[in-house]
Amino acid sequence: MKRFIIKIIKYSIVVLIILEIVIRFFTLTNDVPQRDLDENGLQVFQKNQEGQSHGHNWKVNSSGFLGHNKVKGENQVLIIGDSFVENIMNPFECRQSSFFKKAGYDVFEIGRSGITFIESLEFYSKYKSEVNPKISIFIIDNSDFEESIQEINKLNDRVQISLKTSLLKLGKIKAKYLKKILYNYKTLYYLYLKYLKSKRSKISSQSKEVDPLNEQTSFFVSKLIRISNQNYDLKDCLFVFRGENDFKELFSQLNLNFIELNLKGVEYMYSESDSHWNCKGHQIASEKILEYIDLVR
Amino acid sequence: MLFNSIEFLLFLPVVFVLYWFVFDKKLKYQNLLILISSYVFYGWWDYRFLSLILLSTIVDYFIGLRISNQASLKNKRILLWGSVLFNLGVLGFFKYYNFFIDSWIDLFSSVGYDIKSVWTLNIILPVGISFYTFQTISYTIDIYKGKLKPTKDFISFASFVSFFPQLVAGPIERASNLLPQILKKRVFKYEQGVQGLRLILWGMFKKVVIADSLAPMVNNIFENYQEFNGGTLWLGAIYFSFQIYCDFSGYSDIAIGTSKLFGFELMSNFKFPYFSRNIGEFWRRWHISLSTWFRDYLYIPLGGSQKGKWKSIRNVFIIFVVSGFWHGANWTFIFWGLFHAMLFLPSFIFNTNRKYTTSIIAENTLFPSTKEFLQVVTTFIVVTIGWVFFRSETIVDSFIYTYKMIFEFDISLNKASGLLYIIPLISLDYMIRTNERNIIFTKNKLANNSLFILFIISIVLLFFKESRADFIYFQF
Repeated sequence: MKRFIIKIIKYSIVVLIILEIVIRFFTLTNDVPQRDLDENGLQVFQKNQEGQSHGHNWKVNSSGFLGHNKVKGENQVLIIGDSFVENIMNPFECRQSSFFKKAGYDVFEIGRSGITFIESLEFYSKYKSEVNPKISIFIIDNSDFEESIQEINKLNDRVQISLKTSLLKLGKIKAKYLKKILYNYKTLYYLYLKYLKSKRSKISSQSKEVDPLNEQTSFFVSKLIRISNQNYDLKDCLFVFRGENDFKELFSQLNLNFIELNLKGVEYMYSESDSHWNCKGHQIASEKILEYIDLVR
Repeated sequence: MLFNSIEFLLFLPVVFVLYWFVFDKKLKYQNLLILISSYVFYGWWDYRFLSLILLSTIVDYFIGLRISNQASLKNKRILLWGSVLFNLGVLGFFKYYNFFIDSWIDLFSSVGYDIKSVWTLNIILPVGISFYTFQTISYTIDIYKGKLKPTKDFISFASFVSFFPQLVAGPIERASNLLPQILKKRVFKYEQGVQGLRLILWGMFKKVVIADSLAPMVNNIFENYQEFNGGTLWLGAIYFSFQIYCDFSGYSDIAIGTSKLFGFELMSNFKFPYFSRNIGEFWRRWHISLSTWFRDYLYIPLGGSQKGKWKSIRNVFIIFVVSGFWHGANWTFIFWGLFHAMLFLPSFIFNTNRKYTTSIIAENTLFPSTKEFLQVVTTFIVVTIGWVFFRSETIVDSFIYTYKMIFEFDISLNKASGLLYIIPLISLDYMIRTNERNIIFTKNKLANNSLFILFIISIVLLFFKESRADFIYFQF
């Protein structure tokens, strides 16, 4: 038995080494940027990291985001959002900032997957004075509101607000060191993605049903929007809903600018592997947003 | 639980360690562990159907004991029929009830009577029911025939019925082979353990790398067969031939390999069937545990070939049709059985069906002779045509598919990428063809080459995906 177990261990070690070499050589896993907390306790990427994802290179800028560095200019636009703005799955030329640049705007993007609505407002407050944008664009979804509210669902790794106390709760970086090991040891990460993550996504896609917005959630979200309107200067902001805005009336009542992209039926604009926009999708989205901005101007 | 799942990857080492290091003091503890592990393994899919296995176990355990205690042949026969009818009744209800009801409704509506389908039930087919019911039936028949003594040890018997490596897709073990092994203390042997691991690896390779990669191509071609020309349909049929072979023989290899890790030897289920030189040889190499089961428990009791030519032909017909029907409640399977009966009968009538019982192609040479090569190709072609009936959704689809294969034939390399999986497999199988049971056992240099083994392990891990397909034979 001892001989048998030693043989298994020997083979396992050699196989793991071979896999590490193969996975690195053929870049079979995507590099994931690691996170840090900024001076306000908000999660940003570790500055100046570089890596490869979905067949192209990415680089984190000096502010801790993917995308162009801040520049000083007349036609400044701030774009804030989640993984759609982070946009690690597409090449640099498919970023919103790249499309906007072609239209003559200088764009600073604050994009990070998992960002909540309240967190994006915090980032907005931080960078508004630095960037001095003509317009600030929030690319959002209704779920971003819900994820912002502790009373709906407590999420320790996200920035949330308690509507009872009106206090902000900062998000913790989940399993920071474990992630560091996982992202650096490619075989482990590869196996994790293939077995555990695909299994989880299989289960969640089976059980995922769209919950209709219930009365209580609706009440909480309305309250969040009102509080946000009172505490942040949202006058020159545009809220771009990827789908429909469930709170149209309230937005209109509060004079908040919004547009609905509602691109669900549009063909060829989604990535083959997930529900994010592909390059074409980003182009269509940017055209719609620019159309609105030009109209307002 | 699937063999190609993360759960099994964790389950197997845990059971292995408990089996050899914790429960190794007494045989009954080890058998109890096998029983519990087997129920966990099966219950992972749907724990409600454990009651069905348990019921079948209890019924056959007591009937087995009663048969051996009876002096009167008549009483023995009554008890035997009790067991057979119970097991076939359970199988019939879960697997065939809706088929018969729907077929009756279709029959009546074809002559103008419109019957509402109030009798059709929403029945879930328990995984592996066809396998374990056949296993328990063979137990009581062997006791009835005096070939086997019943065991009084219920835990051991329940372990035999539910033995997890082969519970859901075989090989269909005979009590006379497996039960004595369960009743005897097992000792870990290094060689057996290594062989087991190699078999598991080889089975995983066939399933994860070949079968699962061919599956999407097969599904695409069979689901959209109307859009493709004959050449592509041929490719679809060939891909399915290898998909089902790698899927099912892969499962058998993993089952046999897993059993070896626990000190058990299961019967061989596949012996390079696509190197067969005629249909008779194919059936001696394909799903051996099922074809020998039908031979021993249906063909021979019906009289076999001892009661004249016409009765022998009838018996051959019966076992092929029943074998087709065993695979599923659909006319496509019945026709597949009939098709093979038609292929087999000429050689049976002219007594050439037992021509190649021991040898394999190119036994002592590097390459087969032209005659052998043509025989193998011809056999493969007809078997592949048969798979079209097996794989098609309906019998009408299968006829249109074969019609297009033959009459709309066009050489096209569209969708030929699947051949990249098949050619290495055929080459590997060919290199190890003289080994009785597969790559493992073997004194074959390639199989013993560490680099080759490391290569296969790496390929399996790189191809492995949790969301990949179930084993085809689970549905039977």
